[in-house]
Amino acid sequence: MDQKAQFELRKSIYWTISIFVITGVIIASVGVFNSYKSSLVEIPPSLRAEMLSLRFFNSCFPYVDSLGKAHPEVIDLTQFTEKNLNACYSTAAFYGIKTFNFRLQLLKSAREISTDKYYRTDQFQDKHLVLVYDGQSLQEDVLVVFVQESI
Amino acid sequence: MNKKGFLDDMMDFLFLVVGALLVFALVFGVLGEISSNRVEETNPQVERITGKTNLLAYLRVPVEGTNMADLIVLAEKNPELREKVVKKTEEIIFLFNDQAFSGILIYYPIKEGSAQDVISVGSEFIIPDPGVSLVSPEGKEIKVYVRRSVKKS
Repeated sequence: MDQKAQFELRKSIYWTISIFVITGVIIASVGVFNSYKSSLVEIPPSLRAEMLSLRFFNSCFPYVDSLGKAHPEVIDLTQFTEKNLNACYSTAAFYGIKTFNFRLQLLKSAREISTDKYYRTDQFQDKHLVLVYDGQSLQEDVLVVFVQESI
Repeated sequence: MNKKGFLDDMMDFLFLVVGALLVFALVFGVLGEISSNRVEETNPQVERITGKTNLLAYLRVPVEGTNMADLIVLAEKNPELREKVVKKTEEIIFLFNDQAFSGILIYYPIKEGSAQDVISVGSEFIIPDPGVSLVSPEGKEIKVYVRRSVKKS
């Protein structure tokens, strides 16, 4: 093999290795940028849970007065049932445990209900001051929302 | 390109790649830190929203045939009603039993030649969140704040 052929061979080896390394660096950079972008736009679980749980004291168990007017920000104790909760917040039959599930507890009224895929593995909890109608009068109560994020 | 030149070029190239990887690691380390701080900064914002909804519910709590908002407005010139506001608020704080609702601060309109008229319930050391405004019968502003201490994450 003459000198020129050796030169060409080494040049080919050099560029082959270089192309692999450069390609690797580019792919890694794109991957890291994408994961950074995903982490930047990810909604924190506490905010998602807060947004989902708004319905529990706004619309799932509304008190309807004798004139037929609904009071969406008042919880009617007779409506505060697991059937109504699961109708208001349902999860997929098979992968429901992979998303948010809730246990709701009314402290003063001593009532507790939970969604159908809730298995008492709370990730966090939130407290809300709410108004409750017990069939006779309105009173204040505290709704504790236990959040099971994913199992 | 002889053998020595080939090795020189390869070493230069490897140094460049290693240097670039270190710069990337530094940049992404900083970006990752910013990203994690963002989540930590979001949680207090969520707690502020919860604090505001709790404050609005507090103002709707029924008391003495009316609600807390009306009672606070009427209590401006009635010491007896002020006691009722304080008593009911203490009951609610006891029931709530959480840092998210540790007190209430009510600022009545300042009258000429007198000090700020305030009803304060709960710990004095907790900075209140932005509150809501009620309107007094004279059309002046009564500010109501919820006292909410920041949860440690």
